[in-house]
Amino acid sequence: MGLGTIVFLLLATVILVPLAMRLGIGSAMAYLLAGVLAGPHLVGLMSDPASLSHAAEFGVVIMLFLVGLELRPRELWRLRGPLVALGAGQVAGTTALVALVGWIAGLSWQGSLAVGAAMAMSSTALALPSLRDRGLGGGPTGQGALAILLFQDIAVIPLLALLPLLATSGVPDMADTGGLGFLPGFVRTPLAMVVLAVVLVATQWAAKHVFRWLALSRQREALTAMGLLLVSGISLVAGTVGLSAALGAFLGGVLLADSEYRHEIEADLEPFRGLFLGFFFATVGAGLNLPLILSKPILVASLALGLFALKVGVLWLLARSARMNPSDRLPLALGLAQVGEFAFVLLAVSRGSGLMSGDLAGLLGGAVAVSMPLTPLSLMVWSAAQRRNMESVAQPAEGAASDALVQVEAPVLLAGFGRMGSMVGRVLKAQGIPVSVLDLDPHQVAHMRRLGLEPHFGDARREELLKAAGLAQASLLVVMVDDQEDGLDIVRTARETRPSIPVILRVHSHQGAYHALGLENVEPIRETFGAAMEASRLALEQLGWRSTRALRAVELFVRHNQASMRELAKVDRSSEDWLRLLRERIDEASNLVREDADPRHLVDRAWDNESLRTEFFKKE
Amino acid sequence: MDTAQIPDTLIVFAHPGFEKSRVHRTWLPEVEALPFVAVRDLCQLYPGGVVDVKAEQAALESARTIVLQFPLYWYACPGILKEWIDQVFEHGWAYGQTGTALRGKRLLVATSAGGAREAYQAQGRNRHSIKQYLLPHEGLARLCGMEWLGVFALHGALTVQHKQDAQASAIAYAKLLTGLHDNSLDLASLQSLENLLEAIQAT
Repeated sequence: MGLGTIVFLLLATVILVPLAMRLGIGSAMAYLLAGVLAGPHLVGLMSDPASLSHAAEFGVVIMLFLVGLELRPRELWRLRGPLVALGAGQVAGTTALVALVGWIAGLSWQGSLAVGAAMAMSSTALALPSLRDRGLGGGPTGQGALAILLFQDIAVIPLLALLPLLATSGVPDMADTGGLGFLPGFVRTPLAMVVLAVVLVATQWAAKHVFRWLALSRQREALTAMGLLLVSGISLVAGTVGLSAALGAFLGGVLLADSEYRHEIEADLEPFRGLFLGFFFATVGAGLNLPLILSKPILVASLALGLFALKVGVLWLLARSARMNPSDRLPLALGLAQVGEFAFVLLAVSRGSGLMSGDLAGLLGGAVAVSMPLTPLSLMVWSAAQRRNMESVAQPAEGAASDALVQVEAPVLLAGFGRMGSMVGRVLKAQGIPVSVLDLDPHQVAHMRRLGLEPHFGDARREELLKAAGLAQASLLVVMVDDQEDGLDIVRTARETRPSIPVILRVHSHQGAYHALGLENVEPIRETFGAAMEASRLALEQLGWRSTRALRAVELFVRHNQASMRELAKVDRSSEDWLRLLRERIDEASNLVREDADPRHLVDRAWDNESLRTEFFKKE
Repeated sequence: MDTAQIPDTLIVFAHPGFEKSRVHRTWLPEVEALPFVAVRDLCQLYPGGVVDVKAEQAALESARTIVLQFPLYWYACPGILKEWIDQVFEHGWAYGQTGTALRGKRLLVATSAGGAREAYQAQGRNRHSIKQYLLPHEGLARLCGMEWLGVFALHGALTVQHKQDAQASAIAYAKLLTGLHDNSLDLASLQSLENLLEAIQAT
């Protein structure tokens, strides 16, 4: 791609995307329009969209890798129900209906099936970001969409193998099936799966060690490069053995979802996803065959609209039979009703196998391309209607809306997993509270992993990493890093996204504690305070104090200390008042522990009967 | 003048198993919503049992009616409330020659018991009424010069399956506190009753 194209796309990103978001039409639409503008029929910058297709596909690949990264194998297993019910229902239902229409229109039954299968596909690249733009990425809509899209991705593999078998004439065209093309289909597919599985497992093992080695070098770009290398490498292998590169990337993501470098990879790849996906939409826009569409506008438009409507109907019925909420059904249906990029591949194979004519394939290709913008457009109309209907409904709470397909359901985000943080993590974990953990020391992370805890490598001072670790959904941030300034940095960064999230912050010194007390809803923990109090209590016990009394003495000291800390935090530390107050508080505290030599002492008279005894003898 | 702004009713609440309670999770919000009620939840304030005596005494001094609310454990109040009483009701403050801080205030117990009303009778399994079991609280009231109002008790708390089953008693509880607050109840007649819950529900 030429520099001009890059400049144009980046310009579109910088100008059109924020504009589109403000106007509420979604970023996908913005890129599509940019693509149409730049395409061969208007400005002519992107005169050969096919040459951009690799960069464009890379966007889809990164996206599915990141989607996979959010899904642990366990969570993927949980999706198996909707995957089969929704996914199979959608593919089978749409294929059958479209094939029926094709057959009535006079196609052969094989041709009808091929068209049906191609039209059943949706566009992952369009559906997920369009839903995300509307805040529907998480929850039942997002999960249902993901299940269906994954099923389609898997279904493409046998379809590619089966379509040529349907062919009644001619030799199947193997151009699209990669380096294993010389093998017959029934050997190729299982073999490809085995090869990919071996590569994935090997990658997972290697990545773990490489990431740690790179993390130790503290060079961020090395980690970013490694993330990109991983995605492109896996999809290269998948593509070579004739599998969908996106599916390969997705599986690679799932396998790394348990890795301690998950959040780091997520944060590093996120911007690439957006940019490359933008390229993808732009190439779709540029690829719109304007002359064909303009020569048969009514036919193409009615094909596209008809397909879209039919797919909406099938999806809506499936969502209903899956007992999805009425309010989730329509966005799911609209989100997936476009015909996706796999259709182009399936159409090409079908044509190569002689299942349909070139004219029909071209016409359908036009309809596919026209159906794509219908998703962002219809979702825009839907959400505008939604807004009008629900004007009075309260907005979701701060940070409640999330882009994550699978919610990181950790109420606690813990930054720093060293001597203090790991203990906090263990206590919370013992109570069955999920904790999302970030730590910057690869050795510590690896060590804690061996102990069965699950910290992730990542710098919590970076907003992307806090977000990847679930800042948006967390109800508490616990910062246990050993450097006080780093800790305050983390709080500042987190508060930019979640201004009112409660924080428990480890501080090193009194100064740090005063500073933290000046912030709203930040609870400072002086790192040595608890241990010093514990030591004091033991000292008193060793001196022969009964445990109850030792505990009370220490507890009273703690309370007094914390109260005076809060009071002193309000006073300007350069003033005269501050020193005076400090001296007073210190005196008070020592009086406090010098408990009950004097029975009239005001501090701790629990179970003290001296005054009662005095009164009793006075009466005698 | 509207005195509703200043809490004159102090509920001292002790429930170690509050999260699982059906009765008290219905009762407490109901009475907490009353503008003249302040609540001190001992399990929240003093998990380690070291009571801030000064703060507690100040809260008691500003109240006119003191309510001890708790589930009945082994025919008595939960340990944390006894602990609180032991530490807060100091000689020289609550009782003794100079101990006049609580004089003239009114003391009420609001409690829930698993056993049925029939069990808490002379012929029943427990032989005595809840009011009789709670004699120590009556003694405390007398020694401190407080007016002993008696016991508001929900029997058969074990049979309360859902929070709404306790709704009627919660409303009666709020009604009792409101009556005490605006002096619309005949205290003398209350004091002779075994259980104020039944009396309120009868009116």
